[in-house]
Amino acid sequence: MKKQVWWGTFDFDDDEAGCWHVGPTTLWIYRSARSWHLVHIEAHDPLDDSASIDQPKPITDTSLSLDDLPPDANLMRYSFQETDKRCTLTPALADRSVVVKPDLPLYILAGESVTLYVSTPLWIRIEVGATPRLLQELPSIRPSDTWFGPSTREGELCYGLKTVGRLRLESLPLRLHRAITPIHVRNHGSDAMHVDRIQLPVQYLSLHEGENHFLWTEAVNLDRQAGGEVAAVRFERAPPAEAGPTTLLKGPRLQLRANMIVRTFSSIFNRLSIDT
Amino acid sequence: MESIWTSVSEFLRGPQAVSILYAIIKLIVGLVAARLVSAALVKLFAQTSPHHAAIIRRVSFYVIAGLFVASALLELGFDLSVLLGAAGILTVALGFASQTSASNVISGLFLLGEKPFAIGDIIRIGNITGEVLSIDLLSAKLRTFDNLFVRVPNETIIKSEITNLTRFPIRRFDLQLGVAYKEDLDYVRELLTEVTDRNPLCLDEPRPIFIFQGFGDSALTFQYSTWAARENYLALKNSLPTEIKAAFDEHDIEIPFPHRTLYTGAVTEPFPVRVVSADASAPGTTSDKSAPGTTSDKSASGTTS
Repeated sequence: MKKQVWWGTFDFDDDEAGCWHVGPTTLWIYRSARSWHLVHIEAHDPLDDSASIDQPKPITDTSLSLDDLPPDANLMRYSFQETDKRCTLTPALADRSVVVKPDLPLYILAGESVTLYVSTPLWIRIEVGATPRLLQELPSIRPSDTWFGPSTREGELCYGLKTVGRLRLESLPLRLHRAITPIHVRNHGSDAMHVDRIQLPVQYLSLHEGENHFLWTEAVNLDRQAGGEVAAVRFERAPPAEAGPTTLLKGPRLQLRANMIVRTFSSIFNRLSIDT
Repeated sequence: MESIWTSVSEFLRGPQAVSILYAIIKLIVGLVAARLVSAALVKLFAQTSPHHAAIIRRVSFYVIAGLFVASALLELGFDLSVLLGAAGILTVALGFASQTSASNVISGLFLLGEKPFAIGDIIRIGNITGEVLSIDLLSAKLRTFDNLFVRVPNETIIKSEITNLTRFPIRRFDLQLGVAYKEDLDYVRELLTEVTDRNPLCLDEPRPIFIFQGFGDSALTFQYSTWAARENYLALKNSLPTEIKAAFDEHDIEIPFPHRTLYTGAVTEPFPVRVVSADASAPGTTSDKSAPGTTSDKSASGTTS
């Protein structure tokens, strides 16, 4: 099925609707004189990677009636004095760090480095008005929660990805509801490094549209220091060369302050499996 | 008669009479003043609460009356150092009486330093679970989940074990399950892993743990433990068993009811079974006149005929 770029600015007349398929999610947007309605239906097939738009349609011509929604549909209504015709959809990166595993167990010898390509799911930002005001941000797919940290007492709640980090860019298919991040892992230590899982802090990354509508973020550098488990994280400033010419779609959620160091820990849970 | 009158009038003219007179005046003035002042204090400070009003009235009355009585006694020539002895004994008595309160205060100070819990945490003491509303001088106040107010003395908190349910960010949910003996445990484990992978609230790491517990009376029992963020614990506790049950039903995995096997043994005859015809008079009775639960055969062991 041909994939359409689903983000952009759309004009709705009074009592018009639109339907978006973004990966496994179906989104309906309705405009009436004093309110906007959003209907979010998350599909049961997480591998669905469709991307299409059907807009504008008169409100009476939609296959989904607001009075008779399927049980898994989530309806949201926003009231205004008067609604504006403009609606903007933008992709956004996840609101928490994402934990990634390489496709095969990976060992990096001393002095060596590797680049992993990871795709993370995107959120859909829906804004209305000539000066965009945010209505809602919905995930295209709700990832699983996971914990990343040195123990069950300290750490951070993240999203766990079911897809894996790949060593070859060609093996990543075009999916318009996911963004690709190159991760450069370098081992400056004196022994081999086992890359079991990596925590990717996507809140500090921005989103760019590259060649063929692939969505990219800046590359991330993970350097394992000599003798240490902890890898320091550095973000590149510009989108990667693999993306080709790019346009910025969305800046980062959080700004990295000059003296802030983001650290990522390696695997820690071996000792926890013994408790009963 | 006249001699009594003379001695009385002589007494009345002496200095002792004057001091008695002063003492009486002081007593009367003291009592009146005490009453007036206590009423005024009640009006000023405790209009609204009858409980406080009673306390203020009594305390102020007795303090002021007491001062005037002491002054009157001094006037009459009594030595008040006896009272100091009494005050000493009173202090010791007060000390014994306030033992628990003092212990509570000191326990409270230690608790402040140690910080086993803070306001807003959910703690369990004994069999009371609730949210901490305040940590005061003598006690901590809890609100239970059914909205009851519980006051726990600090002494109890210091002496007993407290479980703080909100100290750590993630929590493990242990589900006890049993499957029928005919099931393949490896297949059951795979199924459970699929269910937890699908549930977004169940954390991918730490991975869910499968712990075999034993060959039970009626089933193979095991524990399946999954982790969730603390805020999602209740949602996981409700959603996961439902999903597991649905998956078991879909794949025909049996969670057995308790089983009892009746065994007649190698040296005895088997139990006879007689099928009752469909047009019997009432449910639960047989067409024979024998009592329910018996057979007319004498051969079965364990039954009466």
